Amino acid sequence: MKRRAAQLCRLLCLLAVIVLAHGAARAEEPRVVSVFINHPWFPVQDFIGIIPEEITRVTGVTLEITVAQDMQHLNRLIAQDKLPDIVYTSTMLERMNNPALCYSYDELLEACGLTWDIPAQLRANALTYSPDGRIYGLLNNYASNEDWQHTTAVPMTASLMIRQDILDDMGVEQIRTVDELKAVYLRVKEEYSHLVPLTFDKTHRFNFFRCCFGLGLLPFQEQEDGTWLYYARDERYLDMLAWLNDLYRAGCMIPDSFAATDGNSSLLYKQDRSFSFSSCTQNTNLFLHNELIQIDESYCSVELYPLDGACYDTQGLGWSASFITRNARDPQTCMELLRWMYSDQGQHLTEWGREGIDYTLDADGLPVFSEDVMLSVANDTYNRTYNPWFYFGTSAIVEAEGRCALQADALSGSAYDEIRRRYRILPWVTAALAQMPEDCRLIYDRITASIDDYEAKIILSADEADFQRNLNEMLAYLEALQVETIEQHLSVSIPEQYAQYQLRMKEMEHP
Amino acid sequence: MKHRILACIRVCMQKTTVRFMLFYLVLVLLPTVAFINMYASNLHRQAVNEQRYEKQEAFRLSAQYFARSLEEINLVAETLQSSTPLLTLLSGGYPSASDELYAYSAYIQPLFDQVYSTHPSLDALYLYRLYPSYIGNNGLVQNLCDYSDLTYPCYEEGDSCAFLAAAPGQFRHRTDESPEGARYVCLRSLYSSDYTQVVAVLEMQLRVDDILQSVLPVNGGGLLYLGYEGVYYPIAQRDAAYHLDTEHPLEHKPVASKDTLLLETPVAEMTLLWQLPLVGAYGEVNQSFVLMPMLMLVPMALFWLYILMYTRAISRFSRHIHATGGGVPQPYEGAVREDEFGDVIREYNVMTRTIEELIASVQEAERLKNAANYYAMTSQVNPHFMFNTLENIRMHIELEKYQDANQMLFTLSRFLRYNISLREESSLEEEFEHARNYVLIYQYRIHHMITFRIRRDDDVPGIRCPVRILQPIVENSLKHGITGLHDPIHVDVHAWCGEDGVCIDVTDDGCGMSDETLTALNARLETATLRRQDQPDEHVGLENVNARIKYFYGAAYGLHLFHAEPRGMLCRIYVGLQKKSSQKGGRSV
Repeated sequence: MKRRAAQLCRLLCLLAVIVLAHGAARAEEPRVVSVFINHPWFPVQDFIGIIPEEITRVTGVTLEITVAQDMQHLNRLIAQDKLPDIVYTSTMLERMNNPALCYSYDELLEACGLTWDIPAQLRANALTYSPDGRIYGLLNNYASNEDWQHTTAVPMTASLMIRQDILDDMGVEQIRTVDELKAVYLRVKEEYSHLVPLTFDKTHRFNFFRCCFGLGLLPFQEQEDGTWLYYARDERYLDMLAWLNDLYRAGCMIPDSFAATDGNSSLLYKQDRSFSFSSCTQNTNLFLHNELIQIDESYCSVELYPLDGACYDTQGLGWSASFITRNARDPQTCMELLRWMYSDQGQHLTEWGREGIDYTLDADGLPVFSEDVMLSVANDTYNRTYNPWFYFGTSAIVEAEGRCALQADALSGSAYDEIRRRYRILPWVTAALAQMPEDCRLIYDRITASIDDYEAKIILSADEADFQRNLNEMLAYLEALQVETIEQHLSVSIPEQYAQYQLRMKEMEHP
Repeated sequence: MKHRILACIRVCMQKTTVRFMLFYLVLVLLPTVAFINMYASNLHRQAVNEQRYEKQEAFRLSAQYFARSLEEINLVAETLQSSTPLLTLLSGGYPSASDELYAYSAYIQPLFDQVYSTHPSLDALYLYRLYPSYIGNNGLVQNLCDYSDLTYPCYEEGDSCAFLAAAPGQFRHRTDESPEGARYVCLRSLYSSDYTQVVAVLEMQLRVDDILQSVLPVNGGGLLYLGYEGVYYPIAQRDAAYHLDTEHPLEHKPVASKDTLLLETPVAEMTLLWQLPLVGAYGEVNQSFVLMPMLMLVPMALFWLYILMYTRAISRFSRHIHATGGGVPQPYEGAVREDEFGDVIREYNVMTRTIEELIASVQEAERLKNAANYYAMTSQVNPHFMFNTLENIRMHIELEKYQDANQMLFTLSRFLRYNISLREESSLEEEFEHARNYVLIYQYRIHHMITFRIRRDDDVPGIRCPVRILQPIVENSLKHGITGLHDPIHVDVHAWCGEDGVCIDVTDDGCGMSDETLTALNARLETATLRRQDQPDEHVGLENVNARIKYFYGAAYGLHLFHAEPRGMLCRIYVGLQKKSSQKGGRSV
């Protein structure tokens, strides 16, 4: 009897070992989470590379990526009820904040028995788009004005790349005003005939000049009387258009820049055929500088120090939000993954790579990248080798610190400090825009769709009369679309949102 | 040697297994192989023909698709030719840069995007303007170029041309990361809306690899070539994708051989060739045909093994029959299967038992027959002896010698009683008495001086013996020993104990016989058998006694004659102590 019992015990032990081994083997297989990335420009299509592999190793999760084919792709998925586990998008935030489409974070955390003390700012930003006071999508690239005062990195904003070696050649020590800048352009046109003085990319176009003219990057501008005007009706914008038209008529701009795509807009600048290039602070200058020095080592591209009176106001709620959809096969895994991505470890890994291998932290807690990383950046293989594009929970500070760590100090210089000092986030404007009534939204969408064409037409005006005619045409168009309706609504709602935002922040900081 | 081989074949042919094997080989295996070979060859030939036809058809279709893919260029050209905004831009018709830019952004750029998306093999598209426009002078707009940039020597103004650009330097390469590989470049003129003037030259570049990938069968096999201006570029297959190998062109056209089939189809200004291997396919099939008989030998061997096992019982049975030789067939006691062979063996066993019973019955009949002869011989009495005896008795009665007559009758009756009894056996005492009665009767009958004495040693046991063996010997002594009518004769009977039996010597002092007669008679006695009564002979009595003794005791016993001293004969009767145990199988008797 004892012998039989012993044999039975042995058999049970063997079965248990087999089951545990099988379970362990299964545990080694990464869980798969499908993610839809609603950015058609997204530079990578697969979850491969050093950083994705490390993410999988740490979290046990691998991502099945689908990048949007166009901006209607997400709409089609919703209509077909084919949403994947997670949707990562910076647009259609109002539509995705829908309990029928997505789990609320609080609901899911409670159901899964997970704990996550979501930071107050993140929660406040997310509630801006919430229809029912629940969080459905957390935005990344978030930061407060106070956060920016505690870092040496520069926020992602408009910037002008300019040839420092040309400036030095011309004896220009500094440019402080738009008039000085204009004078430099005219000199370049005169003295460097092979250079087009000003080129720009399709996305940021003249954002730098909007900042220089004190407009900032907000779509609506507060007036002295407290009302809010659409930026295209602001006098400063009209001054900017006149200033740019003068440059065009002086031959400092070419129509081709308006026709160029994001892919080739910097072609003239990096081929030493352009003097300046309007873009953004997102390491554009780093890559362009590397291209230029391939032509001549004496060439040097820097980002222009902000001009006097430049304004860098922005909406600043964040950029892309991650939504866990109702179709998620394993919502708990999705939630655990996002919780990890918003953690310090997750943010640093997804943005900077492996600590101790790809980067180390200096005394100020800023990353210092390894030689391999710097070499891959110089060789333009950084994206392909490391693939740092899955920063679903990274704050704007972490993103900016990593970006700046890739640059040499000489290139950024004190310009970044000045930009950061002037950088101001107004999230209540975003909240007001997000909660506009439908009729206002329709008007706003139509204006947004055509304003760039009017802008190009005005800037490319052949003479003063043509300029005035085109300008009036744009203003008439805006009036015809009843832009005043939005302005009147926002003049009321933005102050209200400001008050609510302040109250919400106080409540969250002192619950 | 030849005879040995023939003998060996002859012996082997007598084996059932070999016959089965030959039967299988000649009637089954060879016809089957021949049939399969012929049938498969026909099938294969038919399949090869069909396959060749299918390949030719597929190749023809591929060439058609190839040509159509090249003709997509016409669609592109027509699409662009029908775009009024583009033609207006190319003819410098827009009044301002903003108008032109708007037209470009709203219509022309989407048109280019559409053309690229609907023609995936279209790698690059350039418009060489003959008239200045506001945009497209600085390389930011890829598709618009100046006419001065048009450097292809094959192009003449107002004309169209197309060529295969195999090397990278032979065509204008896009500035972005377009893939490497040969291009099919076509140059066409674009006209103004009213077709009165050429406004631009359109250059279209098609990626040849993409076209090949989409039109050629993936598993075609063989070697593919694309010929252009006397140079033949191999079309290599790499990672299941076709690739025009421009680095290793052939200067001479590939030729067909007996092992290959060369298919050739013109495509635009080029030639598409397909060198199909033929022998390889046939060779493989022929190898399979060679292997087929070898593969069939395996079932043949298995068949042989089966036959060997199946006929093993028959072989054993056959050996059993041969071991019997010419003798009486013996029953087969080996294992018997429950099949037809088993039935044969069982029937054989029944037959052997029947034969054995028949032999036994024949022997019994012979024995009965011998017994009848024996009885007849033992009971024979010479009729003259009876008549003479009876006549003497009558004479004694006539002479009123009633005492003698009475004595004679008494003796005769005792003699006859013993003589005609049906007994087979008797004792020595009774034989002595019977002989004594015969001598008395003989004396009465012929009034002769006969001295008759019977002696018996003390150690002679009282044995059983055939009836009437002594009286004929005594009768023979008297019959052949008496020489004269009044000469006395002495007959002495002496029984003594021999080595394995009892000897009864009957000695007379008669005339005896010559040595030759004695030798001849003894020889006859050695092989003597029972003689029937209808076989008259001088010494028939001796032979019959001898035969009966041998029959009774065995061949070692019987009679033997000697010369008696000083004269006469000695007949020794050698009998056994007991009767032989079985008298069956008495062929030697």
